[in-house]
Amino acid sequence: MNTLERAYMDVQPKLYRYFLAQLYDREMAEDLTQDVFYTALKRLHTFRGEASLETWLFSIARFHLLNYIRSKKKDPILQEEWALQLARESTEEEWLAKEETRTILAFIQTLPSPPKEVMTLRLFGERSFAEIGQLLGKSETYARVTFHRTKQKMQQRLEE
Amino acid sequence: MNRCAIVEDLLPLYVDNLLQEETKQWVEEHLPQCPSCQTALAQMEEVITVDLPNPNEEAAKTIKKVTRQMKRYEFILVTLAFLLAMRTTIIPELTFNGLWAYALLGGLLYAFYRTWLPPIVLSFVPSFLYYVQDDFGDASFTEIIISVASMGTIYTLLSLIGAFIAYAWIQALQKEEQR
Repeated sequence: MNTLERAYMDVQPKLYRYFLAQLYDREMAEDLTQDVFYTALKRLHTFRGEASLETWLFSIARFHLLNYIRSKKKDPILQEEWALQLARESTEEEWLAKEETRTILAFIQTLPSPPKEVMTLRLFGERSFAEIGQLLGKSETYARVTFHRTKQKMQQRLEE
Repeated sequence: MNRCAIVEDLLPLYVDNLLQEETKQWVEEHLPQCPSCQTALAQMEEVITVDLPNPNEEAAKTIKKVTRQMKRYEFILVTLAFLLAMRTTIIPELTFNGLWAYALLGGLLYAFYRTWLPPIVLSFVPSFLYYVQDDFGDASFTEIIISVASMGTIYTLLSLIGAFIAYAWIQALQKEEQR
């Protein structure tokens, strides 16, 4: 097994949960997780080693996620499906059965872009603050402080 | 100045034990006297666990599947390059077809790999290999190599033109997307 394959084996479930928390769509999360490996394999020669392979895989994941969200915004049918899915799955899907899970995910959905990214990368992608800083083009401290502040707000919400 | 505001700012670093000893003591002096900062600290220290499921497909399976698919694409591209080299060797004049075919090959290769090396290598090497086998009469070895290499260079240039068109296209599309 080569280094890319090892890195992918290590982060694959984390990539999947990162997509799932953002999209609420198991199938889509599955597809995007596979796309990450496909893109990585095709573009391995562009990997400069400035970050770890794992971080690089997550930067590819962010790229795919943003592309997907952008395409959905353009396509009204996709947008409608998305709304339906959120409504339907939040009650039916097994993985959303726990109320705490639903509350946390719903809270994260309401966040503006940088904190939302910090939370999903940390909680589901299991990235370090240094990596999150790198991925978002911000400092490690920014990631750390944003995470703890947002978590505090989330905890307040859960206690209400 | 309100001490709570400062403590609240310091809490994220306090939780991760990143404060200097002195600052840490200062925060710890404040905490017992202040219920609101205590709550904030407790909320920050709370461990969040959200159990999301695992993907259905195992990573090893994805790796196998995608690698196989990649190899298939690469095989098609290499075959295309060799077929093209074979064709242009049989009809050595630079026909219009030969021209655009190399540009197309270069464009395809660039779009697939997003780098310049494959369009160069895959237009030069196959045509070189085919030409070398040609009948050159009693020309010397160097003469053969020079003539073969110059043909290969022409094809490579054409392929690079195609690659550049693909590059410009991709750049334009990305700019469009960003808007």
